[in-house]
Amino acid sequence: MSLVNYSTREITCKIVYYGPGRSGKTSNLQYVHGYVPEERKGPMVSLATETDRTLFFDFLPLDLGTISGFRTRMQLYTVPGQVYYNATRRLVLRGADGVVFIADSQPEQWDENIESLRNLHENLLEEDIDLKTFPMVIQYNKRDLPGVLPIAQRDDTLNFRGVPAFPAAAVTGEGVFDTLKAASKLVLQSLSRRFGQDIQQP
Amino acid sequence: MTQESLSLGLDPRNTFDSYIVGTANRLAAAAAKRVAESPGVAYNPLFLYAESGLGKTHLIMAIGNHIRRVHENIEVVYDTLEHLMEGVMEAIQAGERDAFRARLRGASVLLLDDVQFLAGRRGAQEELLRSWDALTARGGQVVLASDRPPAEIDGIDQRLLSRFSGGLMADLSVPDYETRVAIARHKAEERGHLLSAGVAEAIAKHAFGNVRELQGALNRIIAVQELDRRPVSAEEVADLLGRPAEVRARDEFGSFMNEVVGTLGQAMANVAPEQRIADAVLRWEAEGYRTRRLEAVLHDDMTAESADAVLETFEEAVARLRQIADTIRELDPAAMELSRLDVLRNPDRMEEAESLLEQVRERMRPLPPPPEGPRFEQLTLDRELLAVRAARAVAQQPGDRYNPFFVHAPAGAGKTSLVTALALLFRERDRDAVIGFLTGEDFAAELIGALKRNQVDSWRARYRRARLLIIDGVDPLGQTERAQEELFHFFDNARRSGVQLVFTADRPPHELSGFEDRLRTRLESGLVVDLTPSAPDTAVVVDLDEPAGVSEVEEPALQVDDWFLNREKLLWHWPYMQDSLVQEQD
Repeated sequence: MSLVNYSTREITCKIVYYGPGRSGKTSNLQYVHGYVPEERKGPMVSLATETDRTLFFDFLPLDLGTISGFRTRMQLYTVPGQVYYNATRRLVLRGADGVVFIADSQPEQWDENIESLRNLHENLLEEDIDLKTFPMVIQYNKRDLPGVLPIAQRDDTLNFRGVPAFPAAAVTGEGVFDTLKAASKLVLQSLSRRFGQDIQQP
Repeated sequence: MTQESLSLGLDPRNTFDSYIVGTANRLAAAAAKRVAESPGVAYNPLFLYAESGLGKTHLIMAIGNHIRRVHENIEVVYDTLEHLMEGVMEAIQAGERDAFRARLRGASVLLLDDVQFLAGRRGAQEELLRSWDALTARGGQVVLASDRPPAEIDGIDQRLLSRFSGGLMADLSVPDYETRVAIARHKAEERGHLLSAGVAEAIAKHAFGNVRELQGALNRIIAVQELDRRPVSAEEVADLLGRPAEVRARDEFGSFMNEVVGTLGQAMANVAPEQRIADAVLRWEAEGYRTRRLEAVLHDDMTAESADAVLETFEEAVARLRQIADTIRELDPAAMELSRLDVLRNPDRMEEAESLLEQVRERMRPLPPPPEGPRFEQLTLDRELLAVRAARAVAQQPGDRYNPFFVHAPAGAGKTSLVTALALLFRERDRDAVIGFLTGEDFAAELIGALKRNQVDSWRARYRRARLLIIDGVDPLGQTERAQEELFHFFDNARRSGVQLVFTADRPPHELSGFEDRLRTRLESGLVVDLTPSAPDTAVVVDLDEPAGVSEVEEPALQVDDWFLNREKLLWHWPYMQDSLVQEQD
């Protein structure tokens, strides 16, 4: 997708929330949706199953107004976490400028976190994306639940790249905006490095 | 009225020294400083925008205060849009509008606050546009502040929008935590108060939507210190101001926005000079502009300053090209010149672009209008005269009946009055129609002027806009071959596009001296009438090839009398002589 469009003076960033099923990706978007002023957001689109699991994806467009002369928009997507929806995940991931990986902090969900992260790497490689430079942050969600393991212990296995990581409780909003801020910062910094290389001609 | 009284005063407390810079306003502050140091040179216009209470007015006033201190000879006008427009209205009521405008346009730096109130106010926009052009033409600086970017101001004139976009737009966002701490400390010091350790930090933890709210909170702390005569501790701040959690939601989005604005602003500012040139090449190419000039320096070793200078010159040239295109569009929305993108989008062909504009200006210059009277009902001529009835018919059904219409009579017979009445009736029937009314001498003189300026094509196009062209006293054209040639071409155009031509002379066409036959025959090819008081009421030449279905239009009953039969000839099938039957009457 085009990151900077000089002809229309627009910047559009696409951030995808990735992670295993029920890790809290949709809850993150719902919290953001709830606290973004009306004039700054479009309707949140959620395509869910009867049991409320995300079937296709959630989509939340944010219009951040004109910044440094550019109309700046962010598009937040979630992918369906369930393993059998990989084709949809790849479709949503296509053209992403950054990823927020939502990990479930409950010990019994740890293997699913690792499996989902491995799946993310595979899908990014399919898109010829260099993982070393791709903007990514990790959110350790559900920190409000009892029995969760310390983040430092989790980081060793999940965050071996040492990307920014945040504790969160998405249902209460704790850590949601911190995560989004960090992801946006990485995406926009990556954008500055790509100035002049990723420009859509009219 | 002085410049000072023309505008609002600048608050001397609003300076760059008292302005706290953080990530949310770094770009805007840097640009403002640059403008204040070199007005009219960098970032012109500078458009600052931010929501209320984020420091726009402080910054715009800091520019004004700095300029007044450092450049004493530079006239600075600071005003809000509302106040400025009130001034315009008062000046109009006092009959001093021109003087007001002259003084406003005499300023070298215009600082205009709250320009969002331009929304939907065409008069205010027009006034600003004119002042803007006058000021920038002299190298003046314009700085504007608004609570929204230009594109979000409703009903804004495209010409203003393009001017706003021609310089630098910088936004200010909600200050981050560190900046809030610095602001709290600075404001307390400004008021001569000391804050206990941790108080500024405790205040800053609260998520204020803008600096005014922060100042209000600080005022509350200071008020407690003053009234209780004791320092407020950091622990008390939360109780005095309310818990930070109460405003978390707004803070979270504000803080997120702040991060985005800061990161993006820094990303823009940190781009290397050659990269900025490359970005500019891509940007302007994407907008359809030729960037050869930028490409030429792309691989040079450049400092940030020299890159700035190159970009600035280029952007000024682009702004001028846009202005030229806008002006052409204003003058003639269907102008062929607008399709000359090879010129209008090429900063290296500025002279040609200026020349295109001149062409259009020349072409769209109003034609000499007819005198204001007399009208037909005011004529002292006998209304039953053929010439009078025919003139009325020409005005009522121009272009296809008696074209050209030629009136001859000695001086003083009333020819000018008659064709004036014709022109006024024509205008009554079609108020938008372009009418040209001039003497033969003026026609020749205008042509000579156009030849000197090398603008004959535009001059010709200008006259071809006319739906009715009256040359009162065509006789002098006998002395000038070139004017006759141009007139000859007018006939062809008139036939194709239904333009009505009207001529007067002191004698009939066949007696005009110095006229080429091809022109004389065309002058005779419509209706020639004699207005000599003693002359028989007669038509000398009648176009018999009348269009069908025009009988319902009132027309004079032309009488072909003995005089006609004895003196003149009949023409069919104008204008080609080889296709005409000519019957000479000896």
